[in-house]
Amino acid sequence: MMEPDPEKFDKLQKLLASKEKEKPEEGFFDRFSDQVLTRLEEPAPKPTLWERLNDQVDPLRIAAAIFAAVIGLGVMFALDEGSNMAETEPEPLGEADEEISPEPLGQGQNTLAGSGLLLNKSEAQPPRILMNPGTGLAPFPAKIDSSFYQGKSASNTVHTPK
Amino acid sequence: MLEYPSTVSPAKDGVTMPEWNEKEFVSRARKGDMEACDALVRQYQERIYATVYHMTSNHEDAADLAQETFIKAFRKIDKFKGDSSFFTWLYRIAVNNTINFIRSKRRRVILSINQMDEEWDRGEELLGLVSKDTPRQNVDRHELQGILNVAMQKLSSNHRLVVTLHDVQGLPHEQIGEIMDCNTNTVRTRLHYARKQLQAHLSDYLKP
Repeated sequence: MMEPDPEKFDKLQKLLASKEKEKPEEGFFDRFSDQVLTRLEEPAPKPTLWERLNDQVDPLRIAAAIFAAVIGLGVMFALDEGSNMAETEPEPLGEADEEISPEPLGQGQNTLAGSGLLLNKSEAQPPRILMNPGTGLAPFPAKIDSSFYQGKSASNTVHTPK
Repeated sequence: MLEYPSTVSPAKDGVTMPEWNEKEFVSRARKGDMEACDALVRQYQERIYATVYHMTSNHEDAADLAQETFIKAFRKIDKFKGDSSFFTWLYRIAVNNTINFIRSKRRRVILSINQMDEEWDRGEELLGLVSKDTPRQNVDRHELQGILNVAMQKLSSNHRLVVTLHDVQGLPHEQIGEIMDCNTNTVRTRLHYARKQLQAHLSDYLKP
């Protein structure tokens, strides 16, 4: 930290001290007290909501409470994340590594995540079944054996077409 | 007339003034005694006004803010617990009020500087501090006053306050710490940086 020039500093102090000689016009302080007391006798303006809150509650306590709440939420979130991770029970690293047997690049690239389904990369579109569910499926009437329902409660009665 | 305590002490201007018993006046003001309020205002008005004036460099703003300081103090006098002196508490109200005011009109600083006490200075003493190598050698007393006030306005409100309280008003570091709610080391550090900045702003004018 560079020290200020002591000689200049002395001059600065004298200059600043001279400010004390700046005075308001004569008689200003004779009237001042009366002006204050007159204003004091006027009804006080209604305090704003913020002023009322500020008067009733210590802002430092509010800040401390908010801080504590944030920390508390953070801890709860962290604990929750930790328990989720524990529930998934990951396989031991050694075993997992053994099971992963990557296919040769040439084969693996054209299948969907090892499921064996062929991926046509040139026409990157989702399967039609996902676009229009049920498309291409032939109706298949269910075969019902009526004896199955005999002796069952009324709520299970099925009216089969004759 | 005010009913002052029986013990009296002579004031500097020769007028007999009551010996100051702050606690008694505060206790009476708490009960709504307007005469006690008047006595408290008269006791501290000059110092409170001066602090606000040196912070704002504007007489009209200083007059308004000083009045507001006393009004706020009397309206909230029940909250004064007596941990510090009433004067320190009053100063704190004045300082907070003024800092809030300065923040609210940061970009609209208008100087309205009071005249120097003519009995004190005819110009020579003040101008003796100015360098002969100033950009304008014929700088007069009022100009110098203006230059100093402009330099003060360039300081942050905390730096300006510490310079005002220490270098202009002569308060000790400990009391400034109480007013600014910080320790004396912080006061010293702020004072050091504030003076350095002022020196830099006034380097063209201060005599080497």
